Amino acid sequence: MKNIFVKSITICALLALGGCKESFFDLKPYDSLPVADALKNESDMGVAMNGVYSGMRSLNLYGRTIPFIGDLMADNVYISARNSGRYLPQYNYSVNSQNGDISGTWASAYTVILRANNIINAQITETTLTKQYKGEALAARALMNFELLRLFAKPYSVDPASAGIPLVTKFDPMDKPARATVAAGYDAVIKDLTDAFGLMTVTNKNSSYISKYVAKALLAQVYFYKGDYKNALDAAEDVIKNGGYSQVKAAGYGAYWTNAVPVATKLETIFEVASDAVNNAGFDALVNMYAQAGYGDGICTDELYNLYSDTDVRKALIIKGTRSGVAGTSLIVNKYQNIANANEKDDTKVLRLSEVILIAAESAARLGDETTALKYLNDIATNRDASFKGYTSKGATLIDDIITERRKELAFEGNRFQDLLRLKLDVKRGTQYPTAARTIPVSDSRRINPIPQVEIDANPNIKQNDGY
Amino acid sequence: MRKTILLCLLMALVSSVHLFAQDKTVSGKVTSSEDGSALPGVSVSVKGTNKGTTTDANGIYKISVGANATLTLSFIGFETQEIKVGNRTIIDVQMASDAQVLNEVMVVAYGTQEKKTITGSMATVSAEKINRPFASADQALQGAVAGLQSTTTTGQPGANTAIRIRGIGSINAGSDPLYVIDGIPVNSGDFSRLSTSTNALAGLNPADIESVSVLKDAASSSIYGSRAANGVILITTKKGKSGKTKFSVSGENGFNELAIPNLARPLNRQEYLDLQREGLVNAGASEATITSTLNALGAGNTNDTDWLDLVTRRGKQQQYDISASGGDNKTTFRVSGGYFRQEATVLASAFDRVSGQANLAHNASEKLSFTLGLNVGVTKQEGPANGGAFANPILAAYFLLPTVNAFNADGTTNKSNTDFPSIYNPVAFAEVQKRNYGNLVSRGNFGLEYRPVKNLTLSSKLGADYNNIEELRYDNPFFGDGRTVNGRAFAYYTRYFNWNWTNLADYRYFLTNDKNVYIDAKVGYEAQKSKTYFLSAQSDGFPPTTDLIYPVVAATPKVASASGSDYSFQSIFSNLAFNYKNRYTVSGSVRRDGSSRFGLNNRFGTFWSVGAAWNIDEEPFFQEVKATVSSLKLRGSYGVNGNGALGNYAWRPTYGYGFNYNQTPGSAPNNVGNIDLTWELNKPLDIGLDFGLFKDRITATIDWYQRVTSDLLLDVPLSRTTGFASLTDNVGAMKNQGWEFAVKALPINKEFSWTIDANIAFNKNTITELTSDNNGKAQDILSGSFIRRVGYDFQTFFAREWAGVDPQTGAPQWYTNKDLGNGEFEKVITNNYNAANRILLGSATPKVFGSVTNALSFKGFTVDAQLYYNFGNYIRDIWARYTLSDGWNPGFNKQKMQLERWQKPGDITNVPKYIYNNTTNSQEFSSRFLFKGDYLRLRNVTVSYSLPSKLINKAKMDKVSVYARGANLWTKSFDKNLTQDPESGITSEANFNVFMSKTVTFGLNIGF
Repeated sequence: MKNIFVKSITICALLALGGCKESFFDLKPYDSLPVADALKNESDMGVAMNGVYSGMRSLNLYGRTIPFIGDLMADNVYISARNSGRYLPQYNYSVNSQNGDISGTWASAYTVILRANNIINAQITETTLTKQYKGEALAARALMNFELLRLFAKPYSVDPASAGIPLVTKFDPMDKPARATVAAGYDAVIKDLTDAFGLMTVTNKNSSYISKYVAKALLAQVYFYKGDYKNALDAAEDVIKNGGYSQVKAAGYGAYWTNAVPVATKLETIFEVASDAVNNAGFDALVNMYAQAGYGDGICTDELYNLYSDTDVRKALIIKGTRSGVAGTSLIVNKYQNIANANEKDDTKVLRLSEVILIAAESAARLGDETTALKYLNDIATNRDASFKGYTSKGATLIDDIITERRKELAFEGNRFQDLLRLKLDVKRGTQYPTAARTIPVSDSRRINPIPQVEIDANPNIKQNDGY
Repeated sequence: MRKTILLCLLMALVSSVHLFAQDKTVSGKVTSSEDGSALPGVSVSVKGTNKGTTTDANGIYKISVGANATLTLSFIGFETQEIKVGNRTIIDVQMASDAQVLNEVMVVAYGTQEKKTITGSMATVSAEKINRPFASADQALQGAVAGLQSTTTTGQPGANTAIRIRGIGSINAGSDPLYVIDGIPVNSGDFSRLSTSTNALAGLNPADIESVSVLKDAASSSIYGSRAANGVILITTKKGKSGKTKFSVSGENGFNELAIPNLARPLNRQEYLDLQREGLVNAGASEATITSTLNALGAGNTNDTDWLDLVTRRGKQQQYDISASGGDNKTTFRVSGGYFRQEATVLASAFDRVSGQANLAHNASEKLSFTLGLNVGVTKQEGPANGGAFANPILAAYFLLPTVNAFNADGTTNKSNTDFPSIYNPVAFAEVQKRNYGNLVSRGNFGLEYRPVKNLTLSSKLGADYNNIEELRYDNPFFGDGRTVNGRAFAYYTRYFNWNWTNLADYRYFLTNDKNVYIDAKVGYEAQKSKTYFLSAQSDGFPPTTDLIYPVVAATPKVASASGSDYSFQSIFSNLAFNYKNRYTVSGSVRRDGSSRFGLNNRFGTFWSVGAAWNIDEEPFFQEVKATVSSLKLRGSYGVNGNGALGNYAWRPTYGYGFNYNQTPGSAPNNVGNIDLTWELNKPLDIGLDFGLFKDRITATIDWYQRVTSDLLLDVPLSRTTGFASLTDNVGAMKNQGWEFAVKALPINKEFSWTIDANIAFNKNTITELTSDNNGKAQDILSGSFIRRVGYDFQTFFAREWAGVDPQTGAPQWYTNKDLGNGEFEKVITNNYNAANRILLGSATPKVFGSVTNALSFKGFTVDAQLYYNFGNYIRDIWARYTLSDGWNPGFNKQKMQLERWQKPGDITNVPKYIYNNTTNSQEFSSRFLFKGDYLRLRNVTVSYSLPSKLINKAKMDKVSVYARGANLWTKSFDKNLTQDPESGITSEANFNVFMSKTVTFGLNIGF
């Protein structure tokens, strides 16, 4: 009897031992690779770089929030009385540190930076292609840092020594970085873009990828926002002369905005984040904020609309329509049109040749070269409006004209609020905005977004912005 | 050889002749003492001889016996009887079933055990308490076991029910108990991917459940090792009993209504428009602006729609069950079939189930037996979206303006996209939406038992459970979510396949000849693997009809994906128990577990328990007081077990794919990973006292417990600048400590009888360790509206403190609560939300809960009523941000409490001044939207009448009863400002879910 007992225990033990093979436990995920296996060669880098681009498509970044609040927090777009509840705090200047939109932007931008850092830091034998990918990743990191600086830190023109953003260059999950100064942030962005320009060899893939002159154009923009107009003009002119981009003409302007496919012709678009029928933000896409077939909450202000002459092709991108449930006509933004297109979705323009030309114009004007300034300004202005004979203004008026032209050209692309910040101008909004949020002076701390509460809670080294 | 046979034959002949000479014949009928039914197949033998027979189909036996003979009657499941024949020739025998004779036997881990010898803390719930008018058995556990919290956030039939045993034991890993059905650990919970809430257990017909055992402490559950930390729920299905084949048929019909009607009524047209006018005036708008704004909000029409009324309804409920069971002493069986349907109180929310079960047991010989069990449930469920989804009818009921019409003049539903720019007409939506869930749940097990020698049982059991889930969501092309893409549909298939193989040796070794001292030993091996398969398809571009709903007709394929998720466990375990005269029992268990879920560096763990029980009533010295104290038992246990409910691949640092761009593949880091990641460690200590008074007319159980959980899986928040929000690590610790009392009393036990069954549980949860910062200071973790802070309850709300409304200005006020560093907070009032600091407010976990059940019976009448109570938690109204926004989002309707707003200086109210496009942040989360969660609820009531047996026996029936029963018939909540159902889930945050139902059914139950 004892024997049987012993035997049965032995049998059980044997079964246990026999089954205890490592393979029984080594169950691998279906959608992921071990980190070490994911970035081993140049093809892997290309795949990882796609991950960087797709990160920028997030609704927190170019997918929606960045371009939308850039007009909403200024004077180009207001939220209809009938709305879906989105972006109301940005509309009425009641953003707090728990705001989901702006917290999302912070997190998503750094997620893209992580993806870029892993490519930049990958130990792979250097080839032309790996250098190209590293250049793309450097430019992507610079772009994200630049957006973060513009959203969460004081403008360079206000105080370059004030707190900027944490500059993260390698992955360390336990890192709790403090904020570098605004000046250090701009330096890092400029260095990344300069390195990127040097590393990249591809000059023309298509408008949805970063290539050599994308880095240069971004550099022009960064210098411009820094107030370094000499370097801004140099970089902008390099792009205009050597980048190979062609300006979109008045006749093709409508078609340009209808098109949702990245172009390889170098027509107008320098860099855009692509969305297509499969990879897109769905209902969260920017177009839904404007199109009446979507949420349609964002309506163009009367002030902006009235800036355009009737012969201006850009006026055709704003439709006098009706907002359901709202009496009278509403000005419906039609710059994004592919809401119902089953085959393609609107890409988000990050940088266009027109902006680079306007950067050159304003930089030249600031440097006192008004002839060059007028040449570039009229390049845009007369092109958009056939009956317009061109600006002839001088001095402060010329600068104002350039700013107005920027507002008209770059409307609904997230530019306007950044111009007001950069130029230290009060936000002055009309009666289509809430009474309490019509004038937001330069001194108002609400012009700078709060560092998200979740970041403050997790990172004791980070300092909150004033007023939050 | 031949000689021997011949000799034997001769001797047999001689002896039979010899016996025959003195024999007489005895006959009689054998019946069950339980219900008087005849028992066929009972073995009747003459003691000391090889003579024997069995009873026929009518329980009749006939046997010839010698003088002074003694009959031995034996039958499986009944106590063996010996009867001296004497001079009698007719002997009718009543046999009593084992259960009545022996000590109460309970289903425990890997077997059954006499209650007296149990050292752990556990409770069993009997079949009649499980079979309530609910879709799943776990709903019936509410109030049934002291210390077991069963709660849900939704009235969706078939939805998931959350069970917490002895508090919440984890922060980020699962806190659900392990479910073991007929010995097989199964996958449980919500497996849906498109539905709001579903429950795999809803595939098991509660009417097929014999009992549910709830294992609460180390001694009872540690043998389940790394999955025992949150307790174990053992479900045993009904098996056949030998005897005549019995049939049972029952059917009931009834309805569901809102458990608490009209709690937060949305405003009607006049109220809404008046309020907006007031808000516009308060915002300083000109008369022209007021007029145009009000017109935009519908002042120009005459519509007055009560959306809440339109989305709610009276839902039907029905249930039918039929079963047959019986068998003889070799084979027993039970087969059953059932149908259940419940419609919720909200449009397009329903559940139905067709189920079947077969359990078979066969004794091939005295040594070898087989068991076979099969259980199949086909469930179908439809349910709306919840939360902020535009398709959520509850959201629509509160948000849609009363100035918008639900119907067109011709009576058709209003589908106008102009009238419904964002939130859809829920009435129109319910007509054409499809949010369907179907699950074919099947569980099967095959067991083999071999008893080579007395007291040794070798068994092997192979079990599997399948969940085959088909889900379809169809959004029509005309309005709603599918409008911009001309209609879309999602079709998902999800399969959970889990197999488990257990091999067990169970041996009882008697140390003394009088069998008073023995050791029970169990040694086992178990392997389990669960594989999940996900198939997903989505298409856009549907034809302009609402009749074709599957992706096959759509123009643009959007998603075509397949994936999976697997885990495995492998274990060896043992349990030893030493018993002395049922007076002292000492037990110990050990289990070694390995799992694919545990990181490379920590793959295997050992878990154990020790327990002891002292049946004081078995002591000689105790016999004097036995008339008063009829039973008394002291027990205690301690041990170590684990919680392995972490993500299947959580420990792996990975790069994920699917981050695609321009339709080319993209990769990105998707998990930080941690190769040290492993189970959470749980150390339960339990001391319990069971006693009975006055011949057990009153029985009670008292338990004190403490469970210390350490190595908690924490999502350690990372700086978002790392690109990740959190890293999972085994760092935290917490403690649950509490008391449980359960008492059962029989104050009157005559023709009229009265039973009281009550339990109460107090639990205190305290976080004792979290991650530390560089200075060694524990860092708080913020999770939604909760803060996890050392020294405080796990579910402590963290919010700004509401200071009421300024009576002079109507402005909202908060306390600044600046931390003064000495444990005090500056109580300065501010109108600036951002100037107020968040503080710790109450917990979402009740301090005390339990139930009181009264059962009365008189002749055929019985009344049974269970009152559930829950005290000490706070509830957060998530959606007050919109429904009580004080004008922040005036384009949505408000609920009635908004009418109590401040209007003029001197008004004392808790609702601030209503300002159109309010920017005061008064709608943001603060203690203004926290409410006391105390409530009482009449959870179950059953009234039944059984026809007298005299009457029904004539019709050859065993039982005929008619009954009415109800659930959630009455609710009392104690916070007058609370405008939602107080039952709001574990986190006390209801998310615009389907309203809870009040269920009433009427039924008939026949047995024959």
